[in-house]
Parts: sequence; C-alpha cells; structure tokens
Amino acid sequence: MLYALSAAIARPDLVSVESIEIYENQDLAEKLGTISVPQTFVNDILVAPGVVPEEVFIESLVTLKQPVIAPIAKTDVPVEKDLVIVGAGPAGLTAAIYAVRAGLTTVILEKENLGGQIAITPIVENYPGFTKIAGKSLVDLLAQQALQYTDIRLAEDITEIRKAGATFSIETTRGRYTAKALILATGAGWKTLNVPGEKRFAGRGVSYCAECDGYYFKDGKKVLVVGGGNTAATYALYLHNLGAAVTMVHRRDVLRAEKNLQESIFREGIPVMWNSEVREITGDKVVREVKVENTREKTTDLVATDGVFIAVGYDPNNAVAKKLGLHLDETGYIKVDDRMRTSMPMVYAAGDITGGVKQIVVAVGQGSIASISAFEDLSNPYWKEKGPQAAVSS
Amino acid sequence: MPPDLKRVAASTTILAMAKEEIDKDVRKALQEAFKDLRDSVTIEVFTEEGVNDPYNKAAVDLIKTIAGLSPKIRAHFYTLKDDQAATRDVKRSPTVLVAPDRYRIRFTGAPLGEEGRSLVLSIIMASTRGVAISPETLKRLQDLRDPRQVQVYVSPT
Repeated sequence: MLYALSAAIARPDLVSVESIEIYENQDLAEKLGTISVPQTFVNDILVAPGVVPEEVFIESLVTLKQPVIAPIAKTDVPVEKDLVIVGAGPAGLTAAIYAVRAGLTTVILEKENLGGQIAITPIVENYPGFTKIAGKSLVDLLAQQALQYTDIRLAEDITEIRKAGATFSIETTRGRYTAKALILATGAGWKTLNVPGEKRFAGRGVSYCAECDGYYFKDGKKVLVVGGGNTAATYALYLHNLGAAVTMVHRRDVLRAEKNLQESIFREGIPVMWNSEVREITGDKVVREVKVENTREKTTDLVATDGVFIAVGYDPNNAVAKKLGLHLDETGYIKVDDRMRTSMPMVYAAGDITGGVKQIVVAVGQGSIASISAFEDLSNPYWKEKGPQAAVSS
Repeated sequence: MPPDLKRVAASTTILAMAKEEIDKDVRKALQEAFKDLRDSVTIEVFTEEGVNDPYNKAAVDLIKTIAGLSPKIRAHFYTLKDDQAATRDVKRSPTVLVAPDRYRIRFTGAPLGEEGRSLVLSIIMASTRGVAISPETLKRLQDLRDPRQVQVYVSPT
C-alpha cells in the first residue's frame, strides 16, 4: 500500500489507488475469488499476491506484468558491517538491539516482512509483560525498538553467501554486504498438507494464517482448522471469536495444544473431528468441500465448508544455512550449542530455526545470547588457541 | 524520499494497537506524525445509513478525531445521495477520499487497523508530496504513459 500510495502521489495524472476492505465489500471480493489478503490488482490484473519489494511493484505497475525478480543494479562497494542478522522476527530484532548496544555495527536483512511468525499470530497471551497483545502489535513494538538501533532492510533475499578468510560476503536481491559475524534468525515456515486441491485453493479458502484471512469468515461461515497444536488451537479460538462456525480436524485422539488452550476449545464447544485426516479439498472458484478420512473407523466424509485453515507444524527456513554448509539436525534445523554457536566459527543461530519449542520468549532469549556470543567471540576468538592475552582477559 | 517517512511509518505503528484501547498514546503518536504537515489536506467521507452501519460510524469517528489533531486537515461528510458522491463517483459506504482535488486515493471500507496506518501515511504524503520509494524506482515510474487503477484488497485486522 505504501508503494501504491507513492505512485499515486508521484503520478497523480495517471495513477489512482483504492484500498478495498473485503469484509465490508464481500461482493467485490467474491467476484474476484479473493479471500486471502493483501492482494494487489492493477487495471484488474493481479500483480502482487502479498507483499513485494518496491521495484517489483512499480515495474508491474508500469508493465502490467508480474516481473521476474531479477537482481537489480547493486552498488559496487559492499556495505561493511560487523554483524549481519538474517531475519526480522523476534530473534533477529532482539539480536540487533543487543549487538548495537554492545558496539557492533549491524544490519538486519529480511526476505519478506517484519515479525516472522508472530506477525501472523492473532493473539499472544504468554509473552511476559503483556496479558494479551495482538501478534502484529508486539511486532510493531519490537521493530520500533530495534529501529532505534539499526536499519532493517526488507525484501532482501540472500542470493549468495560465502566466507573468505575472516570475512563473510553476502549478496542479496538488492545489495552487497560484508560482515565479520552472522546471526541466522531465519525462522520456520508453514508445513503444507500436500493433498489435492490445497495449492489450487490457496488464497481461495485455503489459508495458513487466521489473522490474515479470518475476517472474511465472520458471520457464521463454516471453517475447518486442521491440526491439534498450539497454533491450530489459537486459530480455532480466534475464528470462533470472530463468529465463524469452526470445526477442528485432528489426526490423533487428543490435542497437543497446551492445557489452557485445550480448556478454552472445549469450553467454547468447538467440535473436533478426532483421528481424522484431510484427503482432498474441492470447490469451484472457492473452497466448497473437504474430504476427511477417519483413520480409526476407516470412513470418509465430505464436509461442506467455506474455508480451511491449516496449522500442522513448521518447516525450517534453512536455505541460507545450507548455502553455508552448517550442520543441521535430521529435521533440517540448525544445530547450536548453548552459546548459539553453529558448526561454523562466527556464525550463530537463534529462534525457530534452531528447532526446539518455538516460543517468542525463547527466540528473544536466543537472539540476545547469539549477539553477546558474537561480540565476545569477535574480541576473543574461541576457536583459536588461547594466547596469554586471551587467558588474562577472560 | 523525505527522510522522516520511514520514521512516521514506525511511529504510527501504534495505530494498529487501537484495539488495545490506548487512546492517549494513539493521539500523541498522531500529533507527532502530523507535526510536519505542509499543504492542507481535505478528507471526504461518504456514508449511507443501513449499509455497514458500525463501519460508517467508525469511519466518521476516526476522521473526526484525525481532523481534530491538525488544523491542516479538513474533513467533509456526505451521504451517497449527495451530489458530491456523484461528482467523485462514490457508490459504496463507507468511502474515504484523501485530497481528492489533487490525488485519487480512496479507502473503500473503514480505514481501521492496518489501513489506519495507510490512511495516516496517505495524509502525510499528500500534504508533503513525499513518497516512500527510491529515486531509481521513481524514475522508472516516469515512463508510465497510460492510466493505472491500483486496487489493494485488505482486511481490517
């Protein structure tokens, strides 16, 4: 929206911008089959599903095509930093605050948008200091604080990363950087069900983000929430509170979500289809039905529904870690020690990418540890044999 | 871009917290954001009783509040039956137009939550003629020869 507004201001002769709220204008949204937001159309052509970098948006605006994201002209001189942090979720943002306060020059590179997984968490009730806060608001507060210390570069995807001597060289879709240390806070993304129809109806009733897409289903629309963990339970409660008719679909006979959430689910009378797995998602322009198999009874039901929210776990975003050749565990998360050090000297990891319990408080804690370790290791490399000076200073 | 737009984007993030009812802080953040307004900005609000009533009220209240925070912001309120609605080609309730004599910036649906932030930014941008894109991107935009109608579909959360 910011870039669209900029275009309308810069070219008032040719560019008009309209923000259309889909709950108050459901007829418009349905005509387009647009249920996931944000989506941007130029002259009725979809140019930006979700958030895109400014040059991509303006290029689409001018050409009316979805441009291939080619690396754009970069400055020849790389930006030199002590520390490059990859990822602007709670781990990366916290790491930046600690790093700059310790005296390290720092930049955060973020492939998509601010906040990582919490940006799409409807309500957070277990972050100390806040009884109840919207995920987005918590992101805003964290980002505001981090921005006082460092630059956050959004829409910068790392295309190349290598180590030469004591220096890391990083190329992104928008620039070049060098760093003496790296913190990877790349997080984890949604796991898909891999069933027929899931891809086809993504954004047309299939969603992985209740906070983003839930509002459309207000006023009694039927939705299924697939999964049994904390995220699934939070989604179910959020959608239920919005007024949607929610049913949970879970493959086991007991929820994995924490007790408090389970109690809320049962207290609110949200039905759960136990021992059940989604086999197929069908519809026309939007989702209409879901085929659900009860694996215990060996029966299959066709469930009429308007939406399917999928919360069946996460996959690690380990592309950068793989480029560096870091040691990963068997599920693809980065292996770290208790100082957040990875298998490569001066590379640290923090937050969901390290696996484990995936909580905001943990990400924040690990982010701080990673920065403190980076700061200490820069002045006193742990992997080198300790000389007399190092021994004295420690 | 004027150096402070990013700062404004960050400082108005607090708008997104309106749900948590911290009115005083929101007002303060907005007053701060509107401090550097240059040209006057007119906002036109169009509503129709019986359509999206709670959102009509929210839109009217929001614009009244915002207009009260800076002498440079002027709000006008119309119904869809008024001639002004035909003049501006407004057919939906609520609709909010920002600086409609100079720009074509329209919010179809009450600009709450995330859109509240876009609304504030659009007011500041319309007033200062500031943009939030780099000079290179701005240059590319000068190649545009034909009209473009941008529509961004959003939800109020």
